[in-house]
Amino acid sequence: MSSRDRIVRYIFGQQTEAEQQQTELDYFADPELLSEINAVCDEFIENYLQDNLSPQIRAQFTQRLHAMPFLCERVETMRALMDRANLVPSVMLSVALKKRWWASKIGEELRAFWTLPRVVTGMGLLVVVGGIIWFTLKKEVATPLPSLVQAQVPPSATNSPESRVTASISPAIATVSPAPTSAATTYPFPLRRSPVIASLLLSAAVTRGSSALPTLAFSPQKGLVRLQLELSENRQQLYRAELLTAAQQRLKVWTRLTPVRYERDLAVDLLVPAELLKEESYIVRLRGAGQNTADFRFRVERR
Amino acid sequence: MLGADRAVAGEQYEQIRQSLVLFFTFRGATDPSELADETFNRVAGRIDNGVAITTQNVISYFYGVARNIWREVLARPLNTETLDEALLSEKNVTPTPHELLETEASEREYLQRLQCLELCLQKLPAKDRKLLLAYYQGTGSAKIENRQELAAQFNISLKTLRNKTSKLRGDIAECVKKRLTSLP
Repeated sequence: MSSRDRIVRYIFGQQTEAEQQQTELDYFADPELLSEINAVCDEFIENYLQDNLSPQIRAQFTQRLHAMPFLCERVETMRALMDRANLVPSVMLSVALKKRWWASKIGEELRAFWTLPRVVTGMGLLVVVGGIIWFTLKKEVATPLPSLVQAQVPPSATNSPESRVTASISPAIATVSPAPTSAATTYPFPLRRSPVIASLLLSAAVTRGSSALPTLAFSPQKGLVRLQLELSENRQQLYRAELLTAAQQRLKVWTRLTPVRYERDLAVDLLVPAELLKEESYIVRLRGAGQNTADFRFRVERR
Repeated sequence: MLGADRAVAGEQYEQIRQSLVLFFTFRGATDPSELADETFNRVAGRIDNGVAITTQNVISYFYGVARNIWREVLARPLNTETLDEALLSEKNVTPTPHELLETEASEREYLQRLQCLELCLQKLPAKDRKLLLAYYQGTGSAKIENRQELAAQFNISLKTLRNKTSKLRGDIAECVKKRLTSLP
């Protein structure tokens, strides 16, 4: 087995416990291997974000992301980083404004003015610059992200970074099977999420032995399933939740959840990708402060 | 415990820390950096208590401690019926309807992430920041060409460039996570 195969199996959680331990011991001792694992992982994340993975690998990687919270964190940061790298023109605008201001010749005249109301002026400027940044980012977030990369400039037209950022997305790294992508690819992580196709209110009072577990029935393969976990305490705190199979296999983790108030009751809302749920029983384990937990059980029925 | 030479010890520390973060990431931890810090604290505590760690077994020693910590994380109590009332505060109550939460919260989170990213990027040396942003610019063939040019410009191989940016991105991810966690 090649070194890359071994790394890929480690990343995808396909190694046995013994193999995993050996890989871990090896990278603790070998900086090269450690770098290689991180770099291969980043390759997958980058290809995932640019929709360059084959459907099968994409599904496996998505599954892995659901169970590895910090891997999700890496994806989100990579997404922000890629957006930031390709947002250069707009972000540079605010930087350029600041530079122009500092470099301007009117410094002499302004010096007297600057010393007295220094704080006020400084704060005013901060507000203006902050406003520009906020407005720019807000505008770009409100606009679907693909528009940032859809302006069609042939990659060969020029080599300047500005032209590169507007080039269309296409498969980049040949180590994974690229799925065909059109010139104007939609962003794989849209800000507007998939539609909610089913919803179920759960209570922690349902125990393991209950004959009739609440049933979540739905037919579409794709979309989001909404689970509302009814809280027994009408109070607030941050929660962490885990979705587990009946055999205690962890499928997805949510952290820093804030309850939502529905009239008199509080509930924690979760959105679960439908493709994660097969026809079987599940547990959502909700953990509040002090590590106290409550289990919410339900069953899935595919129509 | 680590090498006597400061520079070597620094490198060793960095290598072990990154290994710990990767270890906890792929074991499924929510906050690998925190657990990596806990591992270092625990090892330091044992040294304070007179446990001798030789340079021969330092790696496996850290690995062993990390595994124990992960076992403890998995074994944390799970079966209390009532949800704890501590840290409860009305100011956290969000009356926003679910659908609004879904879209607005994700946009807000994303904006916060971009802002944290900006601050973390500013902490990098200018050369590294430029390299990292340049590395992720462009798409398709332009991106590949861009990376080849960058490698040539820095006089390093493509593989070294990839590993270097991966390391920088890892540092940025940790920094962003820390900043996001510390937000009110």
